[in-house]
Amino acid sequence: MLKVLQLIPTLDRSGAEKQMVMLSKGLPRDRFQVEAAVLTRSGPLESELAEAGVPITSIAKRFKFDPFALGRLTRLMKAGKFDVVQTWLFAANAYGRVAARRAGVPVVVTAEMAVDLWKGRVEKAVDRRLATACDKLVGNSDAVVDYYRKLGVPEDRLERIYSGVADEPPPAVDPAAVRVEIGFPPDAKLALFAGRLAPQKRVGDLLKVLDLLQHVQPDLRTAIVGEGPMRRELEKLAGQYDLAEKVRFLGHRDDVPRLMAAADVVALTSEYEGLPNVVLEAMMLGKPVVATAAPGTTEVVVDGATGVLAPIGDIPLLARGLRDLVRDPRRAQALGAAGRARALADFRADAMVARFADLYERLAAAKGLAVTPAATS
Amino acid sequence: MTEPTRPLKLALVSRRYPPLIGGAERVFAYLAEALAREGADVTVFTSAVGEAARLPEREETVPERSREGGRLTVRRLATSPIRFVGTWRYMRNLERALSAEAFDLAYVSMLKHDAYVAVGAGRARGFPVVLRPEGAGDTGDVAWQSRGNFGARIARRCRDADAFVAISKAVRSELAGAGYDAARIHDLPNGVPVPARPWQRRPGWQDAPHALFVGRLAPEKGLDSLVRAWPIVRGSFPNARLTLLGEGPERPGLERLAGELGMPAGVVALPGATGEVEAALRSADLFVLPSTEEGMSIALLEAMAVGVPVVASAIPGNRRLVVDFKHGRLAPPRDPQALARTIVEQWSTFDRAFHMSRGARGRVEQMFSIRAVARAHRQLFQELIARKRSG
Repeated sequence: MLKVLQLIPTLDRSGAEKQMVMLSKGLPRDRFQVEAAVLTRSGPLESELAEAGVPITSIAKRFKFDPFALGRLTRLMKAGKFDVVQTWLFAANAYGRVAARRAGVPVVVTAEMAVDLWKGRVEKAVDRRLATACDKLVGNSDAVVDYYRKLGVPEDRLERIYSGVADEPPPAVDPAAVRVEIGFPPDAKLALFAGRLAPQKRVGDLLKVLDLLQHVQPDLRTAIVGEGPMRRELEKLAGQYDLAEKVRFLGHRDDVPRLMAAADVVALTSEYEGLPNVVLEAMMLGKPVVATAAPGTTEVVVDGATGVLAPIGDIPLLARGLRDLVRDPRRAQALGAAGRARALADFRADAMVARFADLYERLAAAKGLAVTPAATS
Repeated sequence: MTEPTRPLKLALVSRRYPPLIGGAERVFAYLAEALAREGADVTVFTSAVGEAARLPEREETVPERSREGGRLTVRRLATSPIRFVGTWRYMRNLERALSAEAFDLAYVSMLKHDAYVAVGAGRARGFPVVLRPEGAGDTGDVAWQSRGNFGARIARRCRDADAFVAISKAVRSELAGAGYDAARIHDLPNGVPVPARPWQRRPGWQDAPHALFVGRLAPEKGLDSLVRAWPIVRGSFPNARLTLLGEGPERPGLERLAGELGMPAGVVALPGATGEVEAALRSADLFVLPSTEEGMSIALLEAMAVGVPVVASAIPGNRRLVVDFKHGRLAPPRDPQALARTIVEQWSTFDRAFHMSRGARGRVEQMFSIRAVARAHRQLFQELIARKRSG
């Protein structure tokens, strides 16, 4: 029985957080005892963890560099006598690796979830310095692993485990009712974006695409789900492009699967990604995807088979892809079905969990810890 | 390179400056404002000639959304309506003004008398001077130097300037051909502001589609072809209207031609020049530029930046901006039939025209936005200043 701690900055409803919760819930209880800690604050996913019986500790980090938080975290790791600590996202990766080393945790795993082009010199220096303070750096796509390889993380520390998506039964929805509910005509074509409204996602490009389509596809409407620093600017831009009637900013929503199930197509025009959850979810729901060929996205979307890819920032090509899918529901359905088949084959949540479980046990065994033999093989 | 702690103090010199209308002057004004927005302390020196004589001698503004220290001052220097005397007074006043304050650099539009003064003042006071020819060909600066009064003497001194900005390949090759040091010629295109709100098509536009030309009513604009094309356009769109916005020597001829072609009153409108170009572009359903000669048309760039569909003549200057079917449509010059056909095509497939117009706007945003051009200028200026100071 290995004792595992999952450390993450928050429990917001975002990509990495969802994977962490999925993993914490899924690790087999006959082999693992799982706890979680939030570095900064909790969030809406807390209840899901609590329901699964995962104890949660808050470290309550208050400043960018907070030595007291580091102390609290180190004491938590020592007191808990964890065999394995896994850290998620930059802040938790930095604090977690330092604390784990001080606390003498035998196995440390770091998860990186994006091709983090935002990282500046300081962040990169921290990452390089801490590259050897973990036993494995797990990227959720080849693009992420590549990025950290180029940053100088040694080859033997790198591992790729694809993100997983749960195969939950699709929510029953009345597409017309959903459209009316968000203020669109019941028979409108509906495209959906879900994600943080941050520069990385290039939502402005999506608005330009919709501007281009406003006359050739006048029945197209778009729901933009999510919050972020660019929301006001994007709303203003939508106004300037005369799109107020055609685009709705819905903010944070707890019913994204329901909205997605009602949509005809899911759009993602990002600059970079790790392995976009929103695309995995769309595929699981059988929705075709129009996206940019961003690092990460290209590993999920198969151009022409499960969706349409266009170069980053190529507005006309993205517009054409979106228009073609909206105009040809049969093709859209076929791409969606192929996407679902691909998600079931390559991005199952249970496969993701099994790979992490196996990784923990391999690393633990190498450190001489007693490992409960897995039921199979 | 380190950013100077105090703002760059720049002197921009242009004998003619808005509200006097003309593409080159407009671009220079855009540039002055954009440099101020980038945080430079810009003083524009111009002459108080004609209607500008009624404007204040000194106007100071801080353009919207300026960075720290950004400021724009326009100084209108006294001159005289009498030939030679006016030029002499302007030159003397400019020399005094350039010596009265400690400028980091002077940037001069056109290689004429004011360039002569600026290069001299720069030499005396130790600041770099950058010259900018505004055109090539018969009406260009190099041609003027070869025939204007004191042209040769002005040209000799101009060759001593620290750098030259070439807005087109034609300008570069003319400068190099006239003995200017090719290593000191820098290619920087013209830039225009890109309005945040793009052009939208008018509801009911088909009932009376409206085409617009903006520019001087000069022979090289090919406006007779456009007016001759109009009866043909009205064969397909009976209520189509045409507005030629601007002033110039061709006005009487164009008015007569429209009458001879039997165009009812108001169908071909010549309302004169206006400062409200953007508003005019927004109310139009097509921008047409039928020129037989263009360097880099500011009017066309502005139409593309607003995002109105365009038809332009397929001459080198326009081809540089518009790729046919990508950013708008090109028609052969001096061919009313073909021009009419292209205009009718744009209006008959207006969704496609809309698509191309957005492509044009994107192209201007990327390559010819005044912000990008101003930054490139600032970079060049800083390099020149640093080089001068390090000897």
